[in-house]
Amino acid sequence: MMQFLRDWLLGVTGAALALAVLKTLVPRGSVSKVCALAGGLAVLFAALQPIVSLDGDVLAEAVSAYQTQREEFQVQLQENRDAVLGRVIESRAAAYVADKAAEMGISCRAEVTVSDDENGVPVPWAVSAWADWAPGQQEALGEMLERDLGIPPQRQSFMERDE
Amino acid sequence: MSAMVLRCLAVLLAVLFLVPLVPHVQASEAAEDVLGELVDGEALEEAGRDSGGSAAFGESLEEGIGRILDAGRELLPGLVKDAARSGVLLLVILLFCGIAETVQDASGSPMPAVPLAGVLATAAVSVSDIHAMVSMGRDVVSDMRRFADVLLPASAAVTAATGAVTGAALRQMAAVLCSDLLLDLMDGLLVPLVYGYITAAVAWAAAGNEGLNRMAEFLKWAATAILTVIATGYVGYLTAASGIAGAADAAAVKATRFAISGAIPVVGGILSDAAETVLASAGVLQGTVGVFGMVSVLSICVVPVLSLFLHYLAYRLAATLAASAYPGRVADLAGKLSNAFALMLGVTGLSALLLLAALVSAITAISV
Repeated sequence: MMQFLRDWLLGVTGAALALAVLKTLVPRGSVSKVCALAGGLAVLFAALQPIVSLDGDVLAEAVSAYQTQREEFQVQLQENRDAVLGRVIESRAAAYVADKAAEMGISCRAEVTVSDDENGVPVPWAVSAWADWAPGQQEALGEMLERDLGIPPQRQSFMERDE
Repeated sequence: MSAMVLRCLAVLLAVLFLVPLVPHVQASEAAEDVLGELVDGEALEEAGRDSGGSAAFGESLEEGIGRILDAGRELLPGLVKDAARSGVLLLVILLFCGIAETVQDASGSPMPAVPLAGVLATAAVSVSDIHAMVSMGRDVVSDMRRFADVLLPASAAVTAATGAVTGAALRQMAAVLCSDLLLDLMDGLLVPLVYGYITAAVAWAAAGNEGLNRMAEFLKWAATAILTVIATGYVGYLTAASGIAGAADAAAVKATRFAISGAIPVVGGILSDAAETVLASAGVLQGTVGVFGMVSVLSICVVPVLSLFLHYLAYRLAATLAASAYPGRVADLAGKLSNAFALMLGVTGLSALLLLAALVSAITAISV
């Protein structure tokens, strides 16, 4: 595109410059008028020639390449956004689990991992909890996790605090 | 009794406002920490400094502009002195040409070399200014491009976090494309056009051929037209496409909200709260990045713009003042040389406009 513009402008400028020099050299009279007409036609030809030979496919390809690149970039931005949202959801869900555990008398640290559901929404997927477990506490917490967060037992991990 | 009820209501309202605020503040801090991974303020500051900027990440627009104005005020006397020196030299040359022509008229002996000598002297005075200004304009465009490589991805990432993913991609791609186009055009076409214009103007002033004058005007028109087309096309595309992208983003967010509403109540509450928190934090960070970007762009181009404008003014004033004493091609040449500075000013301004328009468009886009 830039090369096309450059060639076009150089062509028109060169033709105009040649015409100016010719008009300076040629003596006044009918010869000068003929030269002016010929020079004007040459400038017109230089102005129109690249436009006539313009390849429309080049433009279409450039537009298509731009659209493809934009879509790829858009996907990347969406993934970054989903990653940010996922990390915040993990943080909030872990805080919820710790708060609920505290209500049950369990002092624990929780980590939640998210995964996209069928609608592409990141939801809590699995949970790991570290605490000094008393008898029955893991089952109680597990029931809450399945009821409130929809995390089944097979995706729940309970570990001792030192692990 | 009524006073007691009012006190209780006040306490209740205070609790209702304060309690949700605490986890919200904590969540905002979590969201800001996460968003901070997307945007490295220190890296942005360093990139700005490498490109000649002086903005600090996190400062307000007023503070940034105040600092730029202070810096401009400090540098202004030096810049005015440089420009005035050239303008005064031009004026002296033109006045001497006027005196020489007056002597010629009085003595009755023609001195055809006077205009030619005036043209050569004018060209000699202005050649170093023109080279310096063209180099300055070139440096500003490449500095802006280098800074855009760091700023635009950060701005796009934060804008995407507000939900405007399509708009963010669109703005970044358009700004990068136009910046690359301007950089390529600068070296390949615009600078040759400016030098071509100056050459044609000097040749016309020396030879008096009207064709050369017309060619100079054509080259000036071509350079102006290219800048105008790029600026108009870019701003128009950004405005129109942002509106369309905004509608697409709003539809996508509504679809996500609908999907969230179908989740388990506790999970739905966590999801919507997290989404709102990310939105709010990203909105704040978007403003911070936008302000930093704008102040950086302005600080990068303040000295070149001032310098170009002062030189344009000095040459234009010299041409105008001398025209009354020595109207003719030499005075017109000084006016044409001032147009060359105006063209470079246009190029510099356009490179800043590309980034500023993208940043303002991102900040003012309605959050979805």
